[in-house]
Amino acid sequence: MHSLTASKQGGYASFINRGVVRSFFALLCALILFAAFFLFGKFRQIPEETAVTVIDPAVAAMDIPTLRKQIVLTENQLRQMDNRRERMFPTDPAILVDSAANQISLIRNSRVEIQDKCSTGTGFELSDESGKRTWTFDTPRGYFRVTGKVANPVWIRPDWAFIEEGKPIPKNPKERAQANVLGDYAISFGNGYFIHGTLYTRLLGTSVTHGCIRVGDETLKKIYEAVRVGTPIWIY
Amino acid sequence: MIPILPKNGSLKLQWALLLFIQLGIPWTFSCQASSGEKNGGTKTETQILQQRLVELKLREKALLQENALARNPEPYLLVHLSGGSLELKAKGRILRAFKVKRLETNLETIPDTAQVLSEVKPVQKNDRPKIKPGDGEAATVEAVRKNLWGLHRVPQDFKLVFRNGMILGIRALPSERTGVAPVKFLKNLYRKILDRYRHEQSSDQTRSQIIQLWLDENDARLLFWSLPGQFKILIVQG
Repeated sequence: MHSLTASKQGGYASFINRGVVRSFFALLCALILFAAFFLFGKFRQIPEETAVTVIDPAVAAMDIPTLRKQIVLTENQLRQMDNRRERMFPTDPAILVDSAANQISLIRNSRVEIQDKCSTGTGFELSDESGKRTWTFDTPRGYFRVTGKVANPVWIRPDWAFIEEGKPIPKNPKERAQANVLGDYAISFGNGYFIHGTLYTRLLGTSVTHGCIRVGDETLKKIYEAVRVGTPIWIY
Repeated sequence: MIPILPKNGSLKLQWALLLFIQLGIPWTFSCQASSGEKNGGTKTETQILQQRLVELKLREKALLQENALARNPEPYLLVHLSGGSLELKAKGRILRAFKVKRLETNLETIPDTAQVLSEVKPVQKNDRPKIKPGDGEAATVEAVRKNLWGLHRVPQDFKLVFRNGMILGIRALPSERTGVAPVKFLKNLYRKILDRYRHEQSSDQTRSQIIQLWLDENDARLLFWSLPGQFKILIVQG
């Protein structure tokens, strides 16, 4: 049937042989790896139904009507507990900052009232010339509270701002003040961190700050008007 | 006589072998796991109701503990063993939710009270970009454009060490978007073997109580990124 020449047959045969040898070698390696994985693994995987395998003796002694009654009772209790937990989130304004997506939200009555792009920390590190002092430009994660509100804020430049620019650190505190760089409003949330405006609006949505949260002018105004000292902030 | 197959015959053979590895072995293990369940036979109404009540009681216990945590404003981490999920929450509101792909432990009993974090230990250190004094903000913006730091650079394998000595290990598996099935399979295998190797090498392997959660690699990084400095964790079975 086949009109192949001997040399061509030989070529195909060696091709097949190589393929088969390669496949068996791959299979052998995979099996060895599997064996190593299962032999040396000291962990156990938790079975899916661990939770329901043990029946409490009190439950085991119940008859069908009692069981049904208990189920209805427990379901009602669970519903109440669920409601109670849902009510724990404040109805007053709260700020959520998604630092991965660079997004800020104002939540009121558990509903998103304002949502917009923001900018959070770069995560970069800066050391001074001596290497003794280091700063990490991260936006802190966790729970915070609004500690202050300022209109027309003036930035009191910290040491790192001068070191980053390669300028000497001034001895006179007045030389640290810089107006018109934080936007119209600043909302402080402790340790020198602020939610404030920006001159670099085109960079909103990216991580470019030294740890503060930069917001566009319109959104900043709305948030500034909605929050008061003590308003919770969650950054994640 | 040497059989002559079509030119792509050996390729088919390789694919068949790969399929065998991928489907055959997991199928064998799943058969072993499920054979026990089938032998149990059908359940009576009483057993069904008992099981339902036990589930509800577990859920009640979990909710009680979670509500106690949610009274404080600090974020907390909730691990649902049966649901296979992990949630970062504050005041009962989910900030982020992750799906647990695989869960392993060397613990006989899982602690059912809230645990307090002691430290987050990355398995591999990822160095952050450094700014030199005098580089200025423009250099920072340029570095950001080059994408030198971000979610893609943070550790994907890390340990959450708790004050009672318990360790919650977070390990990454290839994401859903990882190429074709054989590539994903091999990556999965590599990550698991690497983890076993690290576990064998680690000095604290015998005394540590470990729960290990395997997440999608993007989820693992996002979790690391989002973690606050201090938080509590609650592991619930219901």
